[in-house]
Amino acid sequence: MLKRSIIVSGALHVGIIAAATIAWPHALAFPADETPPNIPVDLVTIADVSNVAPTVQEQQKVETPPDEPAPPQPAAAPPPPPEAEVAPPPPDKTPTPKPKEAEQNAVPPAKPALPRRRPQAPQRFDVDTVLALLDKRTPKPVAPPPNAKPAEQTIKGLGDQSALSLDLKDALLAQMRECWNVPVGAPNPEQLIVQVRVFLTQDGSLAQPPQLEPATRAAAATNGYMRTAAEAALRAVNVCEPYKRLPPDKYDAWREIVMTFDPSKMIGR
Amino acid sequence: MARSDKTLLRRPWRTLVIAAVFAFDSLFGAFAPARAALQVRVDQGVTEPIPLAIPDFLGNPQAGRDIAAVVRADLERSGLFRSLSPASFIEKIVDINTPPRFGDWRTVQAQGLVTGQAVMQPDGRLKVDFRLWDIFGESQMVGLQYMTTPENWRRIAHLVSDSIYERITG
Repeated sequence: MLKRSIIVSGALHVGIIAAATIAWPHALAFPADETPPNIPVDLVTIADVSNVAPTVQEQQKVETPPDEPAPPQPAAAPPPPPEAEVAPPPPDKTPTPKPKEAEQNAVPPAKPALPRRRPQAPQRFDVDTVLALLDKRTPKPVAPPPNAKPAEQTIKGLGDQSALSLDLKDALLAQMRECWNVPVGAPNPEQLIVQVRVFLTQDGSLAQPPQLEPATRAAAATNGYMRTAAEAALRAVNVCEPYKRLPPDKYDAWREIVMTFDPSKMIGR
Repeated sequence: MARSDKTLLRRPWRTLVIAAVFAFDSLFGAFAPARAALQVRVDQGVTEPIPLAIPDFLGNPQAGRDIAAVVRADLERSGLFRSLSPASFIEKIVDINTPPRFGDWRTVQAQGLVTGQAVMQPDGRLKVDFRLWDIFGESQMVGLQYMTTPENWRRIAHLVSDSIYERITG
């Protein structure tokens, strides 16, 4: 039994590891695939991107009022049914002649105009309700709660976090922008793309010195400008060191970061 | 005999399986964290002067003070460097051949440190040594030595600042 279970567990482990190692080479090419989606994040201001909750709440406020005015509309709607009741009698008076039916068809359009005048009268009666509305102290607190409370709950459910929270990458980029002293003056800056692997502790400090990715290290060994760019990137990571803006509850997401420093957009600035 | 044969067969099996499991587990454990890295693309930064600490050179007090002053002026004039006030320095350099206390220089916000000495030689010539230290990398970036007549001290100071400029900016 022990033998079987060991063999089975061994086989399972081998299978899992085999799957993992097959995916491993793909992970090496991953950075190139992931980098493009980050670009649009930079083009929009932080508030527009991640401060979602407030805007949604405003929409809800707009949505709630229509529910209240809705009752008055039904008040206007009831009159039409009586029109329909009024309309049937004429057909009873004219059972056979078809031309009269045509006349009746001509008549109904005029009738709807009359019912429209009738609802106006109930609106005059609503003046009392308008007066009630003028008493802002009592009606408002009573009316909004039933409609607004459920809406607020759903809004909070839709938003990821609170209104003040920043997206993880936003927070990191905002900090790195202040620390990265872009190497200027080098020819072909668009080629001086540096990748640095950063290891952080939970309090936002560097767990170990930042490391250049293999491709960057190789380029820096042969190209003086690349070496300068790599040193500038490492300096930026070190200067920014207390990464306090990163949310501690998402530590697993930012425990290890690969930062790609791309100076091509800084040309001419 | 039969039992002993079985046990002989079983043992290598067990050891093989257990060894394989441990080996793959250790491999898997080593690779797993590498995949979890967050990808961030930084394409905006600042263009600010790099703060450098350039204390007076050791050795001949007059020459050391003059050369350091010219190096500071040269680098600041480039617009790419900012010379930190010597009053803020925590560590007093006493020997340029021993690595500085990098932590002290990080505290004063220095990203680079220039240490040097200007010594009059018995033959009447002036010998100027200097080293440029990477404070965060905790390593030496440049180390050079010049020999010249004492009248040429200013020229040497310009050479020192040129080599620092070239090494940092590329």
